[in-house]
Amino acid sequence: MPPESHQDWLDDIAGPRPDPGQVRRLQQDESLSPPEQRRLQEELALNHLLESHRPAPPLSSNFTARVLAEVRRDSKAHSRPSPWWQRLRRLAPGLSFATLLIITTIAVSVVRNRATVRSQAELAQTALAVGQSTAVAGLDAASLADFDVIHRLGSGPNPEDDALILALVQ
Amino acid sequence: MATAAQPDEDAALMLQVRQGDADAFTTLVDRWKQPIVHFIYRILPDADEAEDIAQSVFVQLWKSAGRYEPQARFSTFLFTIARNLCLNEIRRRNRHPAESLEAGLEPRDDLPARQHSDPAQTPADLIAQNQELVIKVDEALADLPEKQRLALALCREGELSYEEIADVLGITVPATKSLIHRTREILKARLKPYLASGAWTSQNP
Repeated sequence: MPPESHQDWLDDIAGPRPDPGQVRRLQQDESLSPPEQRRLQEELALNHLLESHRPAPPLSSNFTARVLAEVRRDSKAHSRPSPWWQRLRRLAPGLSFATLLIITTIAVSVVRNRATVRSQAELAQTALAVGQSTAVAGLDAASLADFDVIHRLGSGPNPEDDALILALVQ
Repeated sequence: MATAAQPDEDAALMLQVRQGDADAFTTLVDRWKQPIVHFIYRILPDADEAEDIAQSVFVQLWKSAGRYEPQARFSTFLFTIARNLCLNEIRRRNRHPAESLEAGLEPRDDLPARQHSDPAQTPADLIAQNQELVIKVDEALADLPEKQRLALALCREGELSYEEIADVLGITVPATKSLIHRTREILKARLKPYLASGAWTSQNP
């Protein structure tokens, strides 16, 4: 064996799957220098020590059966239909932040739009009530500019209010 | 590898597993259970825990079969799952040092009980010859950083090539060689008196 390859062969012995034939040849090689001899002995000793240290225990004889039982149990659990809240929970992590943001924005817009429509309807009802009241009382709408007065008129014609307005005018 | 078949054969079986073939899966479990349990036992030296984690490795293999690409070596795919589960367990133990793996698992009445063909032969019997050396080696291995311990276990127990170990660890082949070399240098330095005296020979059963 050429001396320049000694180092490579020693590295192989220290690596995975050392070749027993290669080990034998190195042990019989008289051209190894004393430091190489020392390293060879150390590497072989460490290999033996690691191989014999705490030998792996025997596997249980039903290991494969246990794995298959676990796989079957897991497959059954996944094929069973899950309640809607569990499906939703599984869905939620799949949604991206952008998707969640869009959904939230749409939800907020819908709620705000509903509130706007409701307040517009209430405003129309109030305007109608004011119109009816002023018609009954023969009032100029400008005299009802004060919000408090308008507010107190309520949402529909009130005979008592009409009588009071008439009395004030007279 | 002693227990594993040709890589192509394993990849072909894995493609069958991807189609839901339970027989192909059983063949793979039978072929690889020994190297996987041995590898895990080198990282987490408790026989029952090693089996439980190995069981999880194969369940995970079944679940992730759909992600397997035949370009990847089967051994790399399998040992990467085993590495990840070992790291999870090491980190879980670091967070909860007093708990064993059993403590974290619910009792499983639906699974068959573990059966040992030779319960009289325990690792404790086999290593009783040189307790001091066993303790010293345990200490030296336990002091190694996580990555070095994994690399050494893959090198000695997984019987993988440098390329496969590099794939499992997610580093280059030169970095893997360097990592294993450094690890062995640390161990040789710590165990020098025992290596020189030949005390390790009495470890052989």
